[in-house]
Parts: sequence; C-alpha cells; structure tokens
Amino acid sequence: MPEKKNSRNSKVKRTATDIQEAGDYARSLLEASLDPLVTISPEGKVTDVNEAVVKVTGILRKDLIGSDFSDYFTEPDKAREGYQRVFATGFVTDYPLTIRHKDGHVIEVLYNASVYRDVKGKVAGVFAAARDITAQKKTEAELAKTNAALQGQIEERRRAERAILELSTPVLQLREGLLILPIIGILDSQRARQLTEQLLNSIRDNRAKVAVVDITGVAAVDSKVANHLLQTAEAARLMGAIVILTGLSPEVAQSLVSIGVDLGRLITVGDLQGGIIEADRLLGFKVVHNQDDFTTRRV
Amino acid sequence: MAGNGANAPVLSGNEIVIPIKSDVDVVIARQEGRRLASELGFNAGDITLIATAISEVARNIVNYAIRGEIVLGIVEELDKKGISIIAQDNGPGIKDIALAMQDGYSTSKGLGLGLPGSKRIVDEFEIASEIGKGTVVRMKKWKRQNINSRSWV
Amino acid sequence: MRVPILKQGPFLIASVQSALTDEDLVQLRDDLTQMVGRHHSRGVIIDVTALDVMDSFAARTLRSMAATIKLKGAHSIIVGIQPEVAFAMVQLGLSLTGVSTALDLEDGLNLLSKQMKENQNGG
Repeated sequence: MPEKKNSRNSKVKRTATDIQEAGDYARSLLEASLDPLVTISPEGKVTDVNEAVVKVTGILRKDLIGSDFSDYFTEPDKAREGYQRVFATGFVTDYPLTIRHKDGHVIEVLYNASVYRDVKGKVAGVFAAARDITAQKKTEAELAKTNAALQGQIEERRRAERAILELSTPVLQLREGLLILPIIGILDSQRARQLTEQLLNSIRDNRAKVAVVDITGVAAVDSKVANHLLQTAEAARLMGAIVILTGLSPEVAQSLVSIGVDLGRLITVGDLQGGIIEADRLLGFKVVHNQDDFTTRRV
Repeated sequence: MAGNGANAPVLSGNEIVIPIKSDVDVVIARQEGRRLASELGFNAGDITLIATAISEVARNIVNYAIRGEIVLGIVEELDKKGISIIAQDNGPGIKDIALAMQDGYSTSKGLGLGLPGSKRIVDEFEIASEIGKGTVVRMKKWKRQNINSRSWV
Repeated sequence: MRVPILKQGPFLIASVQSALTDEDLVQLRDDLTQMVGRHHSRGVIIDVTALDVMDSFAARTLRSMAATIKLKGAHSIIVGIQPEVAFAMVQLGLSLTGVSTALDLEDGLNLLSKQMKENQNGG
C-alpha cells in the first residue's frame, strides 16, 4: 500500500513541476523579448513588465508595477486613450506613442495591444507590446530633408534660367517713348515668346510709342520666328506703338520673302542707328496709327 | 469629322456646364473658362486665349442654334494637364464645314464663325455637324511647361 | 450693362467694362453714332482697358463703329488694349484694320488733339 501512495504523490508532484516549468518557460520567453511588454489593469495601472520595459524607461521593476501606464509617455492622455480603446474594442494595432526615459531622451514606438482573459473568460487586463521605430523615423526625417534640399535646388536652377533668359532679351529705354531691344544669339521660339512678352509689357510700362528691335546679332531667322516677329509688331500696333526691325540682312529678307513670309507689313531698316533715326522721325511727327501706313524700306 | 485629331475627352473631376441662350451667357461662359483656366495654373496669355475661344464658340450657339451649352472640364493625360471645352447645340448644323474652317483675316472668307481662329489658339480641335441635328465643337488646350512661370506668352 | 459715354469738349469718351455683352456693344455703337451727330464731336475714344477678351465679334463691331463714326465726321481711337489681349487678337487673326489705336486715354486724347490741330491748319 505505501507504493501506491507514493506513485500518486509523485504524479501530483510531477504535474506541479510541469506547471512550474511551463510557467518558467513562458516567463523566460517574455523576459527574453526585446520588445517592451506590459500588462495593464482596467484602472490603467501597470501590473506586470518585462526586462525590456525596465531598459526603455530606466525605472526599476518594483517601481513600475502598480504605477500609471500613462506616466511614461510624452502624451499621457494619448496613452490613456490607447488602452481604453483596447478595453472597448478588444485590440489596437500600430498605435503611435512616445516613451520618455528617466534621463530625458525619448523613444518613438508603435503599440500592438489586446485584452486577455482569466479562466472564467472575464477580461483581466490589456497585454501591450511596443515596437521601437526610432531608427525608422530618423530615416524618414532625413529623406524629407533631402527632398526639400533637392526641391530648393530645382527652384534655384529655375530662377537662374529665368534670369539668364531675361538678361538675354534686355529692353532699354533710350529716351521717352523709345525702346531698344538688341537681340544677340539664337532666336528660337522660346526666346521669341520671351521677346514678345517683354516688348508688349515694356510698351505698357514705359508708355513707349516706338520700339526698335535689332536682330543684327541673331544668327538665323527662320519663317516661324519671322512670323512671330510680325505678330509681335501687330500686337504692338494694337497698343499704339510702332515696331521697327533693324539688322535684317538682305539675304535673310530675301529668303523669308521667297518662302512666303509677308514682310510688307513690317518696318525694316538696315542697321540700329538707322532705326533710331527713323524712330526719332516718327516720334517727332504726329504718328498716325493706321495699318496702311506700314511700309518696308530698302536695306 | 474635320480636325487635327482628338479622342473623346476624358474629363476628370468636375465639369462645368453653362447653358447658352443669350449673349449674356457668352460672357458667363468665358468668365467661367477664365476661372477654370486660372485654377489650372495657365499663364495670363493662355487664359486670355482660352476665354476668347470660348467666347467665339459660345456666340455661334447664340447666333445660329438659339440654344446649346458649353461644357468645361479638366483633362489629364500621362504627365500633362489641360482644359477641355465642348460647345454643343441642337441647331440647324453647318452645311459646309470646310468653308467654315477656311481661314480669312477679314470675314470675307470663311463664314465668320471665328472657328479657324479658335483652332489656331488651341492644341486640339474637332468639329462635327449634322444638318438638322446640331453641331459639336471639341477643343483642348494643354498647360505649357514653362521655365518662366511668370511668363504669359 | 449700358456703356457710359462722357463728353469732354469736342470729344466723347466711352469706357467699356469686362462683362461686355454683344448687346452692350451694339448699343454702344448706336449711342456713339447718335451722340457724335448731336454734339458734332470731332473725336471718339473707346477705352477697352477693362476688356479681358476681344473676340471676332468685338473686333468686327469696333471696326464698323469706327467707320460709321467717320462718316459723321469724327475720328475714333481704341485705347487700352492689354498685352495679353493684343497678342491673343493677333494669334486669332483679328485685325482692327482702319482703326487707330493708342496706349491709353491720355495718349488717345493727345492724338485726337494733334489731329484736330492738323485739320484746322489744313494739314
């Protein structure tokens, strides 16, 4: 009979050991986790922590247990709202919070939390696990900074290009009512557009009556640009100003005419000086802004 | 159908429909066009061109169709954005579209409908008309990628 | 809305607003023609500074307006066409053939005065 008793006792002892070992095993896993793990009571108090929590807060385990969960965050109200939501809905994922360490530095984290129940099925508390995203946030911030810097560079580049464009089509006021626009280099569609804008705006701003556009320094004038100049001159007339084109070589004029560009409505003079003389003449006299008065001069 | 090619416009977002019955509506249509073009970020010069094109086609509705509508919308394609202008009516239709599209700096040529001029100032232009049924003019103008954002040309 | 017309000595000045309808324009043409006759005006200035769009109808009407007023012995000058509007007109192929233009009201009045003096001197 003593044998049977012993075996029963040893069975009980073995079961108790199993439970103890199982518990120790589970505990050791929790303590080994690098993520801070806490349990929170319905009153918002910390009921259990792992080693990682001690590390991340800098507070001793015995002081953590029983204290308010929200005490350790930069936004306590937000932390409170977080676990209250878990109690209300059952779980919360990727909830952002910032932990404040005892020595002052902060750690950005995302919380995953859920309720856990006792054997009777009643909610015993919230089990919360934090994930450190400090490094991730740092990378994001650096990326944003780089983007902003690049954006700034693009803006500067654009500003410089604009400035160059403006410098390359200067508008000079020679005297009251007389503008000179010396163009040098390649006159492509974009520059031609720039020219038109500056010319028409300048006529308005300077109240000019004559604008001499000198293209002596322009390498080549194709029909598209020639037509654009014609349109510009017409637009200027609608604003009460006359455009005189100077520096159009006979060869270029001939080639334009031969491809059908009607230069007849444009005033042209050989060189800039001649153009200015003509402009003075026009300014000295009463200017009649009539379409029929436009004539082409021999170069 | 005559024109320099455009598929059925893909209108994204809101469309503005302006009923056209009288010359007052022409002014409203071009003011709406001006506003939309400005919102889209078109430069001052293009805004004026757009408003002018709208004025032309809207007036045609008043003069010839009695009643119709202008539909304004935003169009997007790959990496460009623009404005879509549709002028439609249930008027008598244009008998000779070729004649209507004939260019003439005075109104002695063409039918004086302002269509050739409008075609010149937009990027895409399409016109379809059926006698007794009506006319539809579709236009699109894309925003120019300009270095100088202050430029209006 | 009816375009107001001011009398300044021998000249008439009309300033159009941006919301100018076709009817307003036709009305303006009739009003100007009538007033030129009534006051024996020598010149008319039509200020379109506020006009944001000049389309083919407006251009046509302004041209016919100038021609009609000329028949009544007065000279017309369109002033205040803005840079964007001027460029749009030209791209559209709209011309104001036979119509004088000046930058603004001041230039327009100066022009009219000079022309009047010329006419008086048999110029």
